[in-house]
Amino acid sequence: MVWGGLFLLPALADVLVFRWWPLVVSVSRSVDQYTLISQARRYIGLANFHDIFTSATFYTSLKVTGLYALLRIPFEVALGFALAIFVNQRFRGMAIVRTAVFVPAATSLAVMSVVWNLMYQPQYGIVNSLLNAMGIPAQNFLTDVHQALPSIAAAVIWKDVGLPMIIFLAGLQGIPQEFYEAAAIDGTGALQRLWTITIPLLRRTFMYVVVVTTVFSFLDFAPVYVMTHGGPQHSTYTLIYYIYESAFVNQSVGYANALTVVLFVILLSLTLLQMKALRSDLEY
Amino acid sequence: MLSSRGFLRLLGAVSLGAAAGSLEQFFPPRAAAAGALTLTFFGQTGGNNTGRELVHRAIFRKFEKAHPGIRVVDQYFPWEELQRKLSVAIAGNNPPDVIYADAPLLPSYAHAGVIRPIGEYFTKGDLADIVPQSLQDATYNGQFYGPPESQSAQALYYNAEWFDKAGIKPPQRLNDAWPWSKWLDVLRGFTKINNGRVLVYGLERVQPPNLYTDGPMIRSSGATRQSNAFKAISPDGLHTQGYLDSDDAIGAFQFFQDLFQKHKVAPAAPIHDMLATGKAAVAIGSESIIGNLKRNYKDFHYGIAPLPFLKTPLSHTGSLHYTVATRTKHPAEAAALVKFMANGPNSLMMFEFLQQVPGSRYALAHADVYKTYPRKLLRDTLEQWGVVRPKTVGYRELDLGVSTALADLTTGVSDVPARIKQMTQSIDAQLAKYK
Repeated sequence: MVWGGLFLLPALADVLVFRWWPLVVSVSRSVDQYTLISQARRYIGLANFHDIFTSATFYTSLKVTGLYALLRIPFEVALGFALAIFVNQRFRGMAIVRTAVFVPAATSLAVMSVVWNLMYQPQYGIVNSLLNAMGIPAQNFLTDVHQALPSIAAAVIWKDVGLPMIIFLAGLQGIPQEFYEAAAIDGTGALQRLWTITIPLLRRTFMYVVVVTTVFSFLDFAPVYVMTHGGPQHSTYTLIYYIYESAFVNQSVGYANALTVVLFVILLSLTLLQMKALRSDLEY
Repeated sequence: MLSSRGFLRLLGAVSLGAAAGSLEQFFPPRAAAAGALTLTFFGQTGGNNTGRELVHRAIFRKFEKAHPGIRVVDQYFPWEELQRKLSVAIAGNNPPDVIYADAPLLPSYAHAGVIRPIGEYFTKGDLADIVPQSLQDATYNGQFYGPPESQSAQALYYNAEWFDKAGIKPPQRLNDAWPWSKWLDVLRGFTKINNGRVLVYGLERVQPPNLYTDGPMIRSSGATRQSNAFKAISPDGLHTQGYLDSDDAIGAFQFFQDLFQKHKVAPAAPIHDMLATGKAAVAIGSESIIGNLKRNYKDFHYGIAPLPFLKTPLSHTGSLHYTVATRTKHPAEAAALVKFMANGPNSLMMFEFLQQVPGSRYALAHADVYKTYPRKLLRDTLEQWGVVRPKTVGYRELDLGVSTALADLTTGVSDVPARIKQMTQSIDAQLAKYK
């Protein structure tokens, strides 16, 4: 027991020092006004929260974050699931396909953002070159108010879809084959087996993937910072980017801390709702 | 054949070595010698500034020779990381003794008490060596905070071959400078569009819009240097309403948007090295453009012309300053180091690397390139047109607000006056915290 606790200590220290303690400090400083370079803090009560909930920029950032999450979560989860079913088959070379899909997930988000920024370049980017070759006119992508957010979402989905795929794959390989054999004997088709066996038995896996993807969607900072800086015209101005700008550029650190508290509450509420909706009592 | 245990040992050794190597920037190679007084400095490197640290280190070695018993411990970072490092060090009450401050940010550091006035360590002769714009940048509430590393002046750089072929001879002196209306015709002539796709632009965009590069166009809309559009901000540095949203300034913002949306002479998304790679006819910016062309495009023939303007010509100036942290335990020694770093001969040494107009009159007099065209134009621009960026303790907030609005304009805003009014309201709301 003692040895078990000792082995847990490093991970526990990491969680306490680098996750929980900053949150506690954030909450405690969300009622202060101060800048990053001047440490003179002034207690202002709930004024920061009042400013947040009366700020048009906050609601814009919330809307953009919501839209981004709505773009990213369904596509990434569905694509990850579909890829998992595909790579779960025993074909020669499938290990290479699996690795190829997963490798982008292991790369740095900042590096990916720089590369995709170049690819999306309207005049000389490779994406427009490919589109032109297919007879499609060049698109503005990151400089278009309607295309910028979906463009960022597409790049991030490309990078991260390997992770849901691996998680779903593990889930698929955990489903006993007897269920499928019994269903096949009963004459059920592939789609019916998918709907009545696979998906219900993977409900917990779905819950995990949806919750994790939701959290990542709300916390994606590098793509916006590298590719658009929140533009054009605030069309990619996410909540996390708003927090960064408030703290490091506008020097309103107390306000940024208050935004962090609001983000935490929103994320916690969302994940609790998702866990309740996707909860499964099935055991096998 | 390596056993698995041996392989693990090797992997561990390699990992430790890599970790130690990556930590080098936190544990600089030259640790303070026992008994020596240590002064710390965070400097800049990376990108076009790779090598700058070598100049600083050479200066530090000379200083240490002249001041036995003092060691300078230095670390270098790319620009963005340097700003974050400085912010975090300052917030953690552990700033370097010498703070490398961007000129327009000096008031914010001074206002927050992060840097201390060091006028007492400078004689009248020392201050007389500093060009007026640098002195203005370095002064806050009547007190002097630190000398410049260099200066900057802006100009228009053009593809000399293209202009020769087209029979266009841009001006070479400030008195003959062309206004934006004339340059627009030239830019439109060079812009080539094929099937709705722009193949060659008139004007290069290397960076996203920002106050330093694009601010002069807006401020030049003022009829005189006393007009509110020219001033851009109130004397107390806390209000932009009535200044950046004056009728003249809004007209300038509209002109800026038209460059991208109506005339399509510049791309909304920045592209690297457009001028040198034949994708644009002209570029506007500081002398760093010359440094880049000399290093990477030696065969490219360029010319320099005065900066375009709307009504009143100007160029933004300013570079980095050496300042002393308030929390330093050795203010006199740090001030002596700062003074040494920026003295005439060392300013000249920094100029040899940076190739940017010096902030020291001694260095300016000894840099022969500034005696004749084309580089003389930049010296003249600094001396006759040079104005410091709008002075405010909230420069970061001001820059963000203006840059964001300019970026929106490059992608097309349906109501420019409304967008600019929103910009000034937002900036002033941020600046209100400094009242």
